[in-house]
Amino acid sequence: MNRNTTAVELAGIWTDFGDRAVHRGIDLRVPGGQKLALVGGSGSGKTTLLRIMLGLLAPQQGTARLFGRELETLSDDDQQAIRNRCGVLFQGGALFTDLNIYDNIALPLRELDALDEDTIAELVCMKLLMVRLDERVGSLMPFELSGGMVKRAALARALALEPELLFLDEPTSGLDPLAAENFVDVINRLHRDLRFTMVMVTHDVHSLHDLCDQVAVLADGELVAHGPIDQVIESEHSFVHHFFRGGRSRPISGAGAP
Amino acid sequence: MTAANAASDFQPPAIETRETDAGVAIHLSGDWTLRALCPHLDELRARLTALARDDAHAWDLSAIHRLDNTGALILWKAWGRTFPSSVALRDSHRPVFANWETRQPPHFDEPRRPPSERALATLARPARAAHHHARDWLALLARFLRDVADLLAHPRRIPWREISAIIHLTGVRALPITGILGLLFGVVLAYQAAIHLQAFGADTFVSEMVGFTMVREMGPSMTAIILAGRSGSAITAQIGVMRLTQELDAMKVMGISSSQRILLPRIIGLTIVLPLLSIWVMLLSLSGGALTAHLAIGLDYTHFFSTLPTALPLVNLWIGLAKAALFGAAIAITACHFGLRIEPNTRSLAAETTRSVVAGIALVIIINASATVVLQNIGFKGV
Repeated sequence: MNRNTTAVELAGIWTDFGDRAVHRGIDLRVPGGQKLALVGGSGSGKTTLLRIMLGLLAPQQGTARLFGRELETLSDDDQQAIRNRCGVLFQGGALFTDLNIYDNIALPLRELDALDEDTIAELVCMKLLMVRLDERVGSLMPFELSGGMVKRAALARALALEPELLFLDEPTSGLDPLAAENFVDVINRLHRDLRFTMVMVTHDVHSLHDLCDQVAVLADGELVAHGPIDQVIESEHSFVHHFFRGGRSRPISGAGAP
Repeated sequence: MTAANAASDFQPPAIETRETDAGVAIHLSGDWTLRALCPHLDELRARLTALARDDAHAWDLSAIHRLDNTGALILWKAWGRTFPSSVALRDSHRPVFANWETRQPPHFDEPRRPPSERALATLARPARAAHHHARDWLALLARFLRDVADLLAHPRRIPWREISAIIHLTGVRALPITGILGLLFGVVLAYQAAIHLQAFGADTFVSEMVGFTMVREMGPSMTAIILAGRSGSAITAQIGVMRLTQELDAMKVMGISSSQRILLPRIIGLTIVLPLLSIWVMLLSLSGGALTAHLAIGLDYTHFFSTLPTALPLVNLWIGLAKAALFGAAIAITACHFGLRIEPNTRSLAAETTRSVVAGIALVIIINASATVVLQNIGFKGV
C-alpha cells in the first residue's frame, strides 16, 4: 500500500443514538500502511465508528471516505470494488455457520469468478498456513473450532482477497493471554509481509503496544488523543489516564510489583 | 471490469520481452496482485507458461510494483514450482515467494466410508430418526407431566408471569388474524351450504351445517393450524436461539429448571389459548355464516341462532374445546422438541423450525382424525 495515499478519512462524523450523541464531529485520517488502534470505553461508539468507516452504516452527518472515495456517492459496482479492497475481522468471527472453513475462505475467491479451483485450493491452504492453522482444519465446520481457531479462520477469510486495508474488531477478545499473544504475532507477521493498512478497535492494552503504531482515543464523543502510543499515554485527559495507567493496565509481575 | 478499474488504483500487470546479447530478457511490471490480475488472468497465464518453457530466459521482476500471494502463485506455477535459473527480484518481494517455496500442492482427502455402510445408513436413517423423534417427544411429554405434578405440590413456584406472557403473545396478538380468517371461513361455508341445501329445499339447515362444522371440527383445527404456523415456529426458533446463546445453561446453573421456566409456560399457555381462540373463531365464523345466509337466501338472523341450541347439542362444544386444548399441548410440545434439537448453525435453525411447523400441523390433523373415529357416536341429534 502506497504510504502517500489515505486509506480512511472521516470528516465531521456526528452520530446520535436517540438523545445521546456518541460522535460529535469526529475527524480522522488514516494514511496507507499505518496501524491504528481505536480505543475507548464500552459504549463510546468505537464499533459504530468502524461500521461507518466500512460503509455498513451511513453517517448521520459528515463524510466517510475509503481510499479517497465517498462510498455513498458511488455506483453499486464501484462500492463493491472498493469493499473488495478491505478485509474485516468481525468480533465473533462471523464465519458462515453452514459452510466448512475451506468453503468460508474460498467463498470470496470463487465470487471473483476468475480463478480455477486448483488455484483457489492453493490460495486457501496458503491463507490457512499464514494464520497458522493446519490444512485439515479446512474440512471442519465453524462450531467445531475453539475460540482461538475461529479468530484465525476468520482472519484467513478476511485476508482472502489480499486486502489493502484490514479492519479488526476486538481481535484479541475472548482469547487467553497466550492465544492473544500468538494471534498478535500472527497479525504482525502478516503485516510485515503484506503491508496492509490496519484499523482496529480494541480494549486490550497489552496487545496495543505490540500491534499498533498509532492510537486514537474516543471519549465523550470526541477523539481526545491521537498519535503515537507513547505520546498518547502521556496525555493528561482523565479517560486516557485511567485507561492506560489505571490498575487494570499494569502487567502482572508477581511479588514486588509496584 | 471497468467498474473495478474505476474504483481501484492499480497498474495493470505487463509482460515485456527484450532480445539482448545474453538471450531473451523478460521484464514484468505493474501490479501483480489478485485484483489487478483477475481481468486478464488466462491470457497472462498462457504467456507466462509459454515463456517459462525455455529456462535460458532471464526474468526481471524488479519493476513489479506490488506483488501478493496470488501474483506469486501464478508465477510460481508457471515456472513449475521452482525459480528459473536467472531471476531478479526485489528484496521486499522475496518473502511472498518464500511462502510458496516450502509448499507442495495441497491434497484434500475426503474421509470416505465404505459403500456398504453408507447404503445401509441411507436406509436406516429415516427409521432411526423417527424412532429418536418419538422417543424424545414422549420424554418431553413425561417431563412436562412431572413438572406439572411438581408445581402442584409447590404452587408458589408456578411461573404465572411467563404463562401470562405466552397467553398474551400467542393468544391476544393472534385475535385479529384468527378473527378475520374465521369470519371469511364462515362466509364461504354458509354460502356453499346454502346453495346445495337450497336444491333440496332444506335451506333452513344452513345454521346446523355451519354450527356443526365450525364448533366441532373446523373451528379448533383451523385455529390450531394457524397457531402451529404462527406460534409453533416462534417457540422453536426462540428456544433454539436460547440454547445457542447459552441462556438455557445460564438458567440451569442458577438452579432454575429450564423445563419449568421455559417449556412448561409455553405448553400450558398454548393449551389455554387454543380453546379460547377457538371460541373466538367459532363466534366470528357463525356471524359470517348468519350474515351470508341472510344475504344469499334471506334466512332470518334470529332463526339462524335460535335453531342452533336444538340442532347442536352442547356436548359438541365441549368436544371441540377439549380437542383444541389437546392441539395446543401437542403443538407446544412439538415446538419445544424441535427447538431443543437446533444446532449452532443457521441451516439447522431453518430446518428444525420448518420441521416443527410441518410436524405440528400433521399432529393436529392426526389427532383430529382419531378423535372423529373415537367420538363418532357422541353429540348428534337423537343419539
